[in-house]
Amino acid sequence: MTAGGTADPQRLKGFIQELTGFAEKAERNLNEISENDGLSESRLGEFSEQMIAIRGTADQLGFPRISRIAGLGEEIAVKAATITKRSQMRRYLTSLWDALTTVKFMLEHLSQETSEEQDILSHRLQTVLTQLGGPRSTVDQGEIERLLGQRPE
Amino acid sequence: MDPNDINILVIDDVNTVRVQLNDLLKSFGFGQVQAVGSAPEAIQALTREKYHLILCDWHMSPTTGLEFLHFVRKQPSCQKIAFIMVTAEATKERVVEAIQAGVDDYIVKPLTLAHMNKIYKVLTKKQVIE
Repeated sequence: MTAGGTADPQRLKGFIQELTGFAEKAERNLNEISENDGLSESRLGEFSEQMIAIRGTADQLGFPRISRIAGLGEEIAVKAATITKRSQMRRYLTSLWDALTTVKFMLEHLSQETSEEQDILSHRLQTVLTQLGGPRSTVDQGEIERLLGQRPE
Repeated sequence: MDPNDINILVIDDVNTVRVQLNDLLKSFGFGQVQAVGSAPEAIQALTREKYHLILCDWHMSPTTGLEFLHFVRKQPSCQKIAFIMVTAEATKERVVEAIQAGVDDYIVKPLTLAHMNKIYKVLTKKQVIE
């Protein structure tokens, strides 16, 4: 069940407001991170938590484009938390701002088709993430079943 | 036991997800669904009602889903409750942590109708339904 195409408009509005609230929290965090030139592991951790909340909720609602960009923001923040040089951090901060502003735009313009700019941004974020060592490896449901099956009864 | 009589506790700090999960579970015939926004609220709910199944998010504060799972598994009164993590967290390390903490199943969001058979399987294994 997704909300993307069939939810009651008022309900959908409430859902989007909640997602926007997460984005606004993420923006406050990013402002604080920017003021410290990014060297704040805990703030980056909070930012990635807000991105995961947006990603998970967007997935549940059936908004894959928003989920994808939030996911890239989340992964970049997780990896960026290990960086110690301010000069390097500034570059990744730009990516985090790009991810966040795009998520906010998408939330405000849900009915719009993916734009070429968004595709380019997505590709750019992916490149940044690759430079940081790539995303954390994840498991699919099949692997989860296998891991569950391995535990002692 | 009839699915309509199975008591389910949903814990997620995002209201949107609580609403969606509630709708999904009800559409599949589960009539008794209580949704709360945090582990402390869930602990209060557990003192008031007997639950057969917990569906819990991971990333919450002040207590994460994993911490709540550890808590539930330490309570003698909660040993028979089925616990399924429903989360966007999909790294192997997290899945293994949850399994080691005693989770009965682990579903990566989005929860969909396709996952209902997993829920039934867990409930059958726990002898809540036959």
